[in-house]
Amino acid sequence: VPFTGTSGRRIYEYIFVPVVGPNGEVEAVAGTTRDVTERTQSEEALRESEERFRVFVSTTSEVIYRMSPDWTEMRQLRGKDFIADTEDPSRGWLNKYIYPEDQANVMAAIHEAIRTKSMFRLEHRVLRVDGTLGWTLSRAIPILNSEGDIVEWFGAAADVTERKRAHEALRGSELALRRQSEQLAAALAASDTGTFRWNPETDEFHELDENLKRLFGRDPAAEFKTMVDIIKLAHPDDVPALLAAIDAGRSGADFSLEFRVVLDDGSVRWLYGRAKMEWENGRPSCMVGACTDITRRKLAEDAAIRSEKLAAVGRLSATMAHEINNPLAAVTNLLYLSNRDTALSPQTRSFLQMAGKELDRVALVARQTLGFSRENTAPTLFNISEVMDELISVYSYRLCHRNVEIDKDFGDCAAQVFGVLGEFRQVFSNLLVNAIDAVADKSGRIRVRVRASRELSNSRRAGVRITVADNGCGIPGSVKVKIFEPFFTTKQEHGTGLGLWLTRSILHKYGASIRVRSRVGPGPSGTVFSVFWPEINVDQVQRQEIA
Amino acid sequence: MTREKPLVLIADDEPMVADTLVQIFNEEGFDAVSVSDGDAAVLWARNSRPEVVILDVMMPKLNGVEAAKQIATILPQVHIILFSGQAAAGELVDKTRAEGQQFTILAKPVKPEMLLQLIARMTSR
Repeated sequence: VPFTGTSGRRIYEYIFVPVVGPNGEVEAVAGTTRDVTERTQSEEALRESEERFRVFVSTTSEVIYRMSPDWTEMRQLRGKDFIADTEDPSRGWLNKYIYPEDQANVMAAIHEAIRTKSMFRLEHRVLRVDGTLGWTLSRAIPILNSEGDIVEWFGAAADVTERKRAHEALRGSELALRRQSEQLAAALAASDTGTFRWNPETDEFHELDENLKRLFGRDPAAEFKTMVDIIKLAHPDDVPALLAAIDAGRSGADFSLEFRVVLDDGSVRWLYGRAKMEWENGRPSCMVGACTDITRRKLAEDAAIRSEKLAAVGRLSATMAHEINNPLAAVTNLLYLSNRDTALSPQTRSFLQMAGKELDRVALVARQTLGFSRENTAPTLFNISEVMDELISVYSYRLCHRNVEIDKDFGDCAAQVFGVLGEFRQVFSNLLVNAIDAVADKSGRIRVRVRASRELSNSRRAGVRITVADNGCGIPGSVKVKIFEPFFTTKQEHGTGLGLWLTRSILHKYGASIRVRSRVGPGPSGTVFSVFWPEINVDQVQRQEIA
Repeated sequence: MTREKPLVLIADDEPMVADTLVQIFNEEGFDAVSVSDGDAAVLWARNSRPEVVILDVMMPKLNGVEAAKQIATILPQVHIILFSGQAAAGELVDKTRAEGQQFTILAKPVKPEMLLQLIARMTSR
C-alpha cells in the first residue's frame, strides 16, 4: 500500500494474520507491516529495465546486453546475428564473446568503470556467430539505485568490423604511401636529384625542394620564385637551350635537357632536367619535373674525350719529335764538322758558336714540349737549382710576353736530390705555369726560392724546400680544397684538371710534400706553393721504381 | 784481330745523321761505317766485329733495340749506344732493362763532343 508521509512516498507491505482462539473463533488479527519501498522500487527498476531493453532491442541495430553489477554474470544479450544470443543469465560470457587476446583489456576497462561508476567504453574484438573475428565498439552504463549502488549494467555494442577494416586498410595504404615517399626521398637524395612544380601561366614555382636548391648551389632557405631565378644560375652558353626547352614544354613537349650551372666558386655542375607538362581544360597547368646531378658522368665522358685527345696529341708529338729531332741531330753534327775547319775566320767561328747556342735552345724546347721527358727514366742525382734555372728558361718567352717578372732566389743552395728528372720537371713546370696563369691579368711577379731545409712536420728529415710564389688573383677557400682532385680545373677548356693531381702523385712517390697558402683580394692577393723534397735513401727509390 | 783504328758501326735511317756521324768519327780517329736498318746492322756487326755500335731506335725492318740485343749476343764485348728522337724509345729500352740487358740511351740531338767522350770512357775501361 503506498503511503505518503513526511519522508516522501513510501510503500508498505501489510500482512494480517487471524489469531484463532482455542475454540476455533478468531480472537484477533495480528498484523505486521514493513517498508518495502526499496524492494518494490528495484523490482520496478528491473521491470523498467527489461522494458527499456526490449524497446532498445527493437529499435536499434546494436547488440544490447545487461550485466550484473560486478559483471560476473551476463543477464541477457541480444546478438542481432552479429554475436550469439544469451537468453538466460550466464557466467561464461567472457570466453564466449571476447577474443582471448583482448580479454585482459576488457576486464581492465570493466574494473575501471565499476570503480568509478562511470561508462564502460571499449573497442575490442569479439567472436562472431560464424566463428570469425569481428570488431565491436561496446559501451555500458551503470544503473544505480537511490543509494548510489550499481544494480545493473546496461550496454550496447556496435559492429564496427567494416569500419575497422577500412581504417586498417587506409592506415596500411597510408603507411605504404609514407614508406614509398620516404624511399623516394632517399632515392632522390642518393641520386642527387631535386624536384619542382612550376606554373607556366604565372611563371611561379609551386614547389622546389631542398635537393634542387642544393644542386643549384643554394642553401635550403634560398627562394626560387620564377624561372628567371633558375635561368640566372645557368651557364651563359646553356641559357638559349634552356629557354628553348622551357618554351617547347609550354606548348606540350616533354622537357629534357642537359645543362650546366655555375656555382659561386666558379666551378661548373652538369644537370639533367626532365619535366612533363600537365594539362587542364586544354591549357598547360603545371610542369612537374626533376633535375639530376650528372657532373661525374660528364667529367668521365670529358675525361675519355680528353684522354683520346691527349693520346692523339701524344702520337702527334711523337711524330713531331722524330721529325724535328733528326734534322736537329744532323744540324748539330754539321755544325761540329764546320767548327773543325781550321781555315775559318774568327767571325765565322763566332757565328757558328752562336748558331750552336741557338740550336741548344731549340733542342731543349723540343725536348720539353715534345715529350722526351723520358730521356732518362732511371732516377739520378741532380742539382735542384740548375734544373729550376733550366726550367725557368723554357718559360722565359711566356714570362716576357705576359710581362711577368721572375725573381730567382736560389741562395747558395747546391742541394742534390735524387729522382727522375722528367718527373721533377713535370712537378715544377705545373707550378710555374699555374703561377703564370694566375698573374696573367696584371703585371705579375713570381718568386722561385730554393733552400736547404727540414720538413715542417718532422724536423729530423732533411731536404730541400722549393717555393713558387705569385702575386696573382689567389685561390678562394672553396676552390682550394679541390685543386688536387683529378679533372678539377678553373681554366675551362685550357686545363686538363690533371696538373696538380699529377704533381701531388709524383711528390707522394718521393715522400715529398706540398703545401699551399693563398689569399684573395681585396687587398694584396697571391698564392704560395711550397714543396719539401726530402733527401732520400737511393735503394728505396730503386726498389719502388722496379715495383 | 788488332786494328789501327777502332771500328764504329752507325745505324740510322736518316742519311744526313748517319753520314755526318761517319765523317765526325773518321775525323776523330775512328774507322766508321753506316747502315740504314737493324738487319743490316746485325749483318755488318757479325762480319766486321766493330768495337762500338751506335743505333737509332726507330728504324725499318729490325728496330734498334732488337738489333742491339742480337749484336750483344754475337759480340759480348761490344759497346752499344742507342739514340732516338722519340719518347717512346725510352719505353723500349725500359723493356730490355726489365729483360736484364742494360743499354745506354741518348736523346737526339746528341752533341758529338758528348758522344766522343762517352765512347772514350767506354773503350778505355
